[in-house]
Amino acid sequence: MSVRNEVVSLITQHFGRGAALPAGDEESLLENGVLDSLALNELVGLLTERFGVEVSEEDITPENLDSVAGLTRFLQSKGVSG
Amino acid sequence: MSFVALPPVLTRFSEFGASHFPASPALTHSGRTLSYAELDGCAKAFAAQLQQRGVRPGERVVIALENSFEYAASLLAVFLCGAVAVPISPDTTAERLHAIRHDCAASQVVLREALARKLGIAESGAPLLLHAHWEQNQTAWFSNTAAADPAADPDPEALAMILYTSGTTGAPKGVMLSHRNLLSNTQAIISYLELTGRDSIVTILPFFYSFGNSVLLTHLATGARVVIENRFAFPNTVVETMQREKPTGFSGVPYSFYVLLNKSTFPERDWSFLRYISQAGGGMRVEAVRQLQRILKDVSIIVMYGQTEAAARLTYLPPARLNEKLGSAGIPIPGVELRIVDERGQTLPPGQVGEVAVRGENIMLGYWNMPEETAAAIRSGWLYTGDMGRLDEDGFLYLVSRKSDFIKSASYRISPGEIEEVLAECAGVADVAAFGVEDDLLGEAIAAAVVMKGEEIHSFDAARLREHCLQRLPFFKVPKFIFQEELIPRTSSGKTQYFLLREKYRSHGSSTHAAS
Repeated sequence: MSVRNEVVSLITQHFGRGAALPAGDEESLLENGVLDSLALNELVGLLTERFGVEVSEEDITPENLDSVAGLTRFLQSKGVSG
Repeated sequence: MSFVALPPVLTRFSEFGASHFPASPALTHSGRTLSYAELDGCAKAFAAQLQQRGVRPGERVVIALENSFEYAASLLAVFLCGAVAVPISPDTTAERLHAIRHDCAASQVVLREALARKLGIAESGAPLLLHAHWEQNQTAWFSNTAAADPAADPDPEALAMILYTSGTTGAPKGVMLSHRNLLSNTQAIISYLELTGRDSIVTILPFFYSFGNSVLLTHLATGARVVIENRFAFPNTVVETMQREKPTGFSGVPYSFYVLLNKSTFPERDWSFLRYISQAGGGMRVEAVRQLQRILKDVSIIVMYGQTEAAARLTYLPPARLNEKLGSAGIPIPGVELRIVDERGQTLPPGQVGEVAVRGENIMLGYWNMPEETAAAIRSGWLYTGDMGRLDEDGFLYLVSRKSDFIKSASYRISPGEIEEVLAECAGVADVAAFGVEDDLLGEAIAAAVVMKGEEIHSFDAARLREHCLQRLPFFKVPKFIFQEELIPRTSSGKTQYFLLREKYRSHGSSTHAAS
């Protein structure tokens, strides 16, 4: 599975509430109500659990974590490949 | 200090800003700014749209938007129409939106297309569907040249806003606030915060909550600037926004400050541009106040206490008395009377713990369509807050506990009933109670005690139950911990004794029985 699809699967499974993700991969997960600040903390834990990626305080930025595309790029920058 | 007198009703609020501070910046969001004149133009355009759809004075209009230009302009537009604003969180479910819409018989719902699609209501009842981005909305909704027909001034006692809170059963409970309630509280807050047009704030508090609503109204009433920052999930982004915008004020709930102190670069930055910070929404740990004092040095720290039923604010601790009265919620704000009463409503002397009762022009009209609950909450003109506290000899309030069983987690007041209903849907669940357990960051984390039946007694699977909650509830309402119990403690009349569960699991944050 591609990194992007793994990200989608992770988010849908844990935070989707059965609803569709935003139409565009660059769209904000927070603004679209998929994540809130508490969910984001859980997401950080899941990234470590699922992909073995350590997420530092500096990594917790909208650019890295607030969209499917951002998460994909972030994971790839940490060496995760599909 | 001199203030421009506020208008007697919110119907004139938008124009008030435009006539007194037309060129001043009113709102900033994502690098864009609207002046007061522009905001008034947007509000008038949207009011015309509402009127074209038949919105008349006194009708209810639900606004399900996050903090945005669209939210502020819609709110002012509803006021302009003499209608009643019903702001709710856009992080809602179709069931809750339906329940609120039905309860207050709202004639219109303002929300974004994407949310309407998600909730499956895009086609039903012709909601006012806004686009995702301001540029599109500005053209489509907020720059209509057809002038709104200004509504005649309503009575200041008329209903202006309904803010829904959850009853402990989870059923929505509409707090009815009049023009006078909101404006008198706005005036009082301006006075003790000494707000002027030179002030500005970066706000992370949702406008659809009482606290956030008061931040919006007080700043718009003084010609101050509100910088909208909705990315509190990324605390360093909030820190950067504050460093860039250099506001004079910042307001938060204890959770906001716990996160900033522990999960961001806030402690290392220079905050000399701040004039004050204010905190409400529950008692903050004294250690956190001390940390803030060390970091903020000459910045006033203003601890406050309030309720939605009081249009927001009841007391504040004057910053000069902070060290002397640490742990106190302060003294009544201008226009509010406060006393501590026993179970018969008799005033108790200083030092004795009783229920906090309050009176003033800010106290709600009552709960929408709930005469019995209203009569129980407001007796002889006094609001019985459900909070327990005592006054010291100087008249400073110390809150001790609350009578209600709400869970206060992060910035949310969560009803156990809603969580219990969702858990009760799970196969094998015979009984359930949701409650709060102490949490360093959240104040309280949500826990649930579950009684299983049949085979499930021996194969209790907390992760499965939590998974179900994740599918059905917004994340902030999902229990962090789920414990198996043999019995939920109840009184002889069947009322859940939440305090026994809170007591039992007080420090069970890391229990091995927990699903986390």
